[in-house]
Amino acid sequence: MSGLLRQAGQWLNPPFLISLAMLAIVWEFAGRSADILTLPPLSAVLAAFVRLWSSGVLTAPLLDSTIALLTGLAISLFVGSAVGIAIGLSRVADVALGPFIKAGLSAPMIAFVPVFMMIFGIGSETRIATVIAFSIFVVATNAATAVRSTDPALLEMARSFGAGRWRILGEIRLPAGAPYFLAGLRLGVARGIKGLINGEVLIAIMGMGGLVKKYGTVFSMDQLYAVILLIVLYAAIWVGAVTLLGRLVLTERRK
Amino acid sequence: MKSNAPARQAGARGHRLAALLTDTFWGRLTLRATALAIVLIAWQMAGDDSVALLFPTATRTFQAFIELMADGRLPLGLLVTGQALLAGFAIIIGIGVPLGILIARFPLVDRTVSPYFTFLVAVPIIAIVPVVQALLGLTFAARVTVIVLFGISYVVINSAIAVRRVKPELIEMAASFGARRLAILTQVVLPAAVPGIMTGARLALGQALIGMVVAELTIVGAGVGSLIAELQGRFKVAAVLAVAMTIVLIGLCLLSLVEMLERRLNRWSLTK
Amino acid sequence: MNANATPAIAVQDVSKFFVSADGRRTRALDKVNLAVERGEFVSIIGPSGCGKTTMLKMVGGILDWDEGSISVMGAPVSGPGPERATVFQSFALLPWMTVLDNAAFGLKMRGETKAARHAKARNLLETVGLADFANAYPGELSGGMQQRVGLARALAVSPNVLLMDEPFSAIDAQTRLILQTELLDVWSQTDLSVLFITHAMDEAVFLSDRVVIMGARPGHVTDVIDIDLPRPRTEETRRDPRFVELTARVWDRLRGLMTDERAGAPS
Ligand SMILES: Nc1ncnc2c1ncn2[C@@H]1O[C@H](COP(=O)(O)OP(=O)(O)OP(=O)(O)O)[C@@H](O)[C@H]1O
Ligand SMILES: [Mg+2]
Repeated sequence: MSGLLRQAGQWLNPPFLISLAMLAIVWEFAGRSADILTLPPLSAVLAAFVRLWSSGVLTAPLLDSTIALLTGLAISLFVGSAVGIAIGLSRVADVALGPFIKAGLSAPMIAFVPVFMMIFGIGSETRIATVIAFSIFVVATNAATAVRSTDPALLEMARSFGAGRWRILGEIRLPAGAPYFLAGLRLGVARGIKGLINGEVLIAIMGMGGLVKKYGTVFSMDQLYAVILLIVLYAAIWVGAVTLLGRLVLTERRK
Repeated sequence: MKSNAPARQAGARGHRLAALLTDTFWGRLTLRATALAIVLIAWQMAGDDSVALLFPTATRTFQAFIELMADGRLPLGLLVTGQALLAGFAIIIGIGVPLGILIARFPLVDRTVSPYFTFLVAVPIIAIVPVVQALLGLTFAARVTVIVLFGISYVVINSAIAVRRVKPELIEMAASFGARRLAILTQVVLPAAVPGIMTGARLALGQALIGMVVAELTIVGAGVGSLIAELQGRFKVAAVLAVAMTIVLIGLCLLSLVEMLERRLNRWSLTK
Repeated sequence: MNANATPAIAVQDVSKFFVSADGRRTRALDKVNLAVERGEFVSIIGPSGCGKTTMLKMVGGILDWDEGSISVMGAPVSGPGPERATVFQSFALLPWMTVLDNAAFGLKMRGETKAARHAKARNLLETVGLADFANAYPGELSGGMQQRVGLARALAVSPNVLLMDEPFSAIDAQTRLILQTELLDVWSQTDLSVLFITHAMDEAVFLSDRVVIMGARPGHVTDVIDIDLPRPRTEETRRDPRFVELTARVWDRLRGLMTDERAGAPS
């Protein structure tokens, strides 16, 4: 809980809030006085947000995006964990597959989105593929670490009681590695959301990203900013929820 | 114990082969080459060149790559795109490192500025691209801005953490020998923070590469973005895949380069 | 030793307060008096948290005090100065610099040229027996060797006063005994005055002309014990009945303070 409070403290501290308020005021006045086309006043953006939200225009894209995100994440978690566990358990798998995982973790996978678009068409598959490309490697990496990081004393203990490979995996390695799995989940979700929005903006038709492109191209700036606000909130809520979930699971276990 | 000796021997033999493959240079090379070969063969078999818009085979992708290199369009596009990356990365380091130091040394700066960078890390930056485009147009500056937005927070945050983690007794030691603030900064704090700053630079480069692709695909200029758009329009899947893989491979090379530099500069931090 | 000269270190009625995070002022030192004569070797010993490090930092000029006065070589302290040098418990070596550059660090801060400071640093590395390790990095050395570098760095700036905060406490017991003898060797060849903090009673007795005993809550001087063992002190000294007796006397005085400490009673 103290970590949570500290995180809240980063946002709820006076200097930051003052600077934020000043930015908001500058934005409002710049928006009112200057060229309305590129910078609508803050109040107009907030009004547009409320308008869009209550009109229900946002509901369908939000739902649509969420389903794509969850599908992609489910695949990433399943396949990524399996590959990661294999790498963590077997040196051979590690040497053979490790370089690919490491490359996928740091490479700009977004470069493949145009290829996805051509092969899968401008539908959900492309977004799901992008979510997977963004999230699967970090899940695999953390799963490998989770399995690998078991305290050798625990392993020895289990072996001395005659536990086999699979018993040890199920009873010792997986539970002991829970913090890393959770870290993988959190990072996977954070990256998956970026993948989702990236995919959607680049496909330019679907979900929330589609709205960005739609309002962006017609220079409907107040609505564009409102959608950006929505995306930011959406990402923040997901990451926050997964972080919270991880904390709860870990404190529950410690009890 | 004696009864399962043969089984243990067989197991030992398997272990020895595995050890040979994983613990010697040539063994690892063989294993990795085999893995790569399997991936390439699987790609070749999964590909289907009969109809456009299907997943292309490895050979056709490679052919497309050769063609794009031969007619000079890919090298030219990469050169133009690379300029934006270079400018963006220079700005990321040039602004990010000093800002990180300021954050670490002045609590007021920390409290005022840090939340914005935490925010930039959490948020899909691509959502802000239309704003950049609206403000700066379809320009080089717009593309550089996108790259900076993608990467800078990683350098800022890591530099700040690195400076903050400098052992206070080292600073105290320098002060006791009469070092002034500037000397303490340049002789103690900065060198001690180099490993952390380099880690930030590597992460930032990874993000800047993503930003570069995003900028190319959304704020289309003369770089690989326009090349991809044109190839996409003509349904050349193999060519688009070739461009994508080239970008990814170049990106990986740049990242390894920074990682090597990181390790060189960090040698002392590994000895202790 | 010049009896007429002002003491090397003179601490008079010094008090120090710390303000904790919740705004409470706690007294860390209460009217401490302490003098180290020129060329004298004085140790401070006392329970953990009694303010020894705080004292040493104030004499070193890197920490302010609230009441009283501190002067070194007759001049009031207002910050670090070239006549003082400190040896640190954690060695405080810069891991990215070679042993030679570490030993020359103090001289660099004084603005000496590279040639001059390297020449001096080399000399002192020779003195502490590390001439062959000039180009090594601290991470490659043992703890004892690292502290020798710390000593060379302090001596390189030719100080009048050497301040040492538990310099040997992170070093194994055998090496420690050797370092004590080496330190006395170096000290006897100079006119250095030393203020030395330690938790080890035998170390305090073996090294010092006087042992100052401090108590806690708030930190104050409770006793000063003169160590009248002959110099030069050698391994023979450790077996001297007088050495054993003095060590026992230090422990007697300390033990009372330690029980205070355990009971948590304010003194
Ligand atoms: N910066 C500070 N802020 C608040 N309190 C401090 C600070 N530095 C030291 N103190 C307190 O002052 C007291 C004296 O600390 P000091 O480090 O001088 O003790 P010490 O005698 O050197 O202990 P040790 O033998 O453990 O090294 C302690 O109670 C400590 O908690
Ligand atoms: Mg201390």
